[in-house]
Amino acid sequence: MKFAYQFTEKKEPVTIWINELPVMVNEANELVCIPHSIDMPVIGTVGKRASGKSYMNHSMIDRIYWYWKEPLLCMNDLTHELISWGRANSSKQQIELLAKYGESPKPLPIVYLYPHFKNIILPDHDFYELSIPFEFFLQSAPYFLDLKKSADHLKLNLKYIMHCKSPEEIQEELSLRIKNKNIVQTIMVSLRKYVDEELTDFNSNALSYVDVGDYASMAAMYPYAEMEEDKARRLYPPRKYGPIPFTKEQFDYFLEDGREIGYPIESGLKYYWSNRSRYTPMLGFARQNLIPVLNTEQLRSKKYFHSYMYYLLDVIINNQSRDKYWSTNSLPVWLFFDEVTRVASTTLKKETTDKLREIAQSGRPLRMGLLYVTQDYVKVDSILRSQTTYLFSFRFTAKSQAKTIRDDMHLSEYEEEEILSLRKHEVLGMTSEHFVVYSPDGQRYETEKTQKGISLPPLSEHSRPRSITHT
Amino acid sequence: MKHIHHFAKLVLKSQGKAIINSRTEKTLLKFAGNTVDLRKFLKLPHMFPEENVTTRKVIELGDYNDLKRKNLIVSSIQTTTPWFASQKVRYILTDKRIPRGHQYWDNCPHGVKIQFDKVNNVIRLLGRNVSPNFIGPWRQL
Repeated sequence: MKFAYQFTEKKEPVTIWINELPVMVNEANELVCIPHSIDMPVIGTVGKRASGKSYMNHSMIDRIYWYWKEPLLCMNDLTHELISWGRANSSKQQIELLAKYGESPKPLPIVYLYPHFKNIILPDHDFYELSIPFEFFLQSAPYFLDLKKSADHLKLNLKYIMHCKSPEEIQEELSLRIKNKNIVQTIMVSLRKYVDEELTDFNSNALSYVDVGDYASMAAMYPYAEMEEDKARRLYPPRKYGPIPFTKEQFDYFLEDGREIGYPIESGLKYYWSNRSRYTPMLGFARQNLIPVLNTEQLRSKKYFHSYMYYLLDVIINNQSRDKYWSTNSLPVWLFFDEVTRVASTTLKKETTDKLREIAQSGRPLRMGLLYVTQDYVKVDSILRSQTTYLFSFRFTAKSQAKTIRDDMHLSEYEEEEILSLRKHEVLGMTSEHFVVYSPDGQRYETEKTQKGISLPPLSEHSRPRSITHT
Repeated sequence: MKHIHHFAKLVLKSQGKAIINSRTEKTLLKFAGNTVDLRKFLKLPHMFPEENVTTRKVIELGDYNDLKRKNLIVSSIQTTTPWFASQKVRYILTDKRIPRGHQYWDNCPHGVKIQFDKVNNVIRLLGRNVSPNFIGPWRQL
């Protein structure tokens, strides 16, 4: 006996390559993605504790690095959470879920950085110590030091202090320039406090600048450079027009004696340092496709925490507009803030809130994107809240939180109640622009509607608070 | 859990790059450990040129007949966009099926060198008339 019609029809899976950032799976089993646009977005994830906020943010960071290949900086790791990101995801359930969407577990190349100061407790694992360059410390003295009127005196005499190598030398220089002794004393007292704290590279050997260099063969740079200088110039004199491969200065640089700083990698070929350029450590690591992570566990309780963060953000903003490499390649930067209310909020009216506002407002021409996580959405700065392009809300119990989300993202009354009744790992995704959605059939469409669903697992390992054995 | 920088070191190694402490001139993240071929694993973006990623063993072919044995020859074509003054032709590696407009070269043209990569089995030309930066593109054999 044969059936005339087969009821269960099996379809073979069809692979579709996408450029978007997959974020969550819809209620209708559709893949919801963030489009890869020219403008850098501000993405926020909010929710109660242990609802799956950092889990979702982790998965977004993984995919930004591996799919979009864009530099990313983790600005504040509060709880040693990011150590496990260096390994690939090992849980069976999550790997099976990833395989559904044609993904595989991958590690992240994280580099841990610790701010250097007095009496810091250093960890067992690999790390580097960070310090502020003394020049910057003096230039931004009003942010670091408690100077009121005498700050102007310090600013006027900055260039005479720069070369000094001890606080006594600074005092001598200042006493020569400033007649009033009381002003010199007030400057020195507040300056000594910070010099003794070993924040700057004045008296610590921590990293303040890093040189980034490529190994490049001389043959690759200039094929006839291995000849003698005169011979090469006679054979190939400088041309009058047309693109010149390298400038005269560069040519001289490679031919000079004693330039062989790098060591030969392969036998038979000479290798040299090329494109050597100087950055602050955070940006130096990011330029080489690594992910720097700043641990602020011990720093956050200090008095100078906000001025320290001000320095880091100021350098990144300046780098985006002024650095040749970043501007010519038009490279973007993503900043990730865990617990953003510790850095900038409505109650904290410090320098860092101004800087974060600056990034949120004018980060578009500077190619700066923001990722932030909070438990308290109400306390997030109003400008940062109004500039968020994508907001992912997990469960809340307080009504006031859900109401502010409704006001900001123009939700309906029904959707406001839905935020209060979400389960673990369930998300409500909202935008001011649009999501890109892929249906199981492979159809692609764009929507502005809010999406309810479950977040995708990360590619690298997510650390759990503890492991429990069921007996 | 101690060596959390291990993957960061591998990424640096695959790019052929390094980071140096500007004060002490010592290399940070100097590679140490087992080598894994990351070229298949990592798809590097545009900012990292391929030149530094691949490992090569390059020799110079002195004899032009060595090139002919690989079923390749040097052919010349007239240029419309010269990159130096008084340039008339451009040299290209071609098969023995010569395209229209190309001129056959029985000997190696003056000022042109031929490089052969043993590892990747690729070949290229060097010289003034090859490309603006004197280096021609690699051609797979």
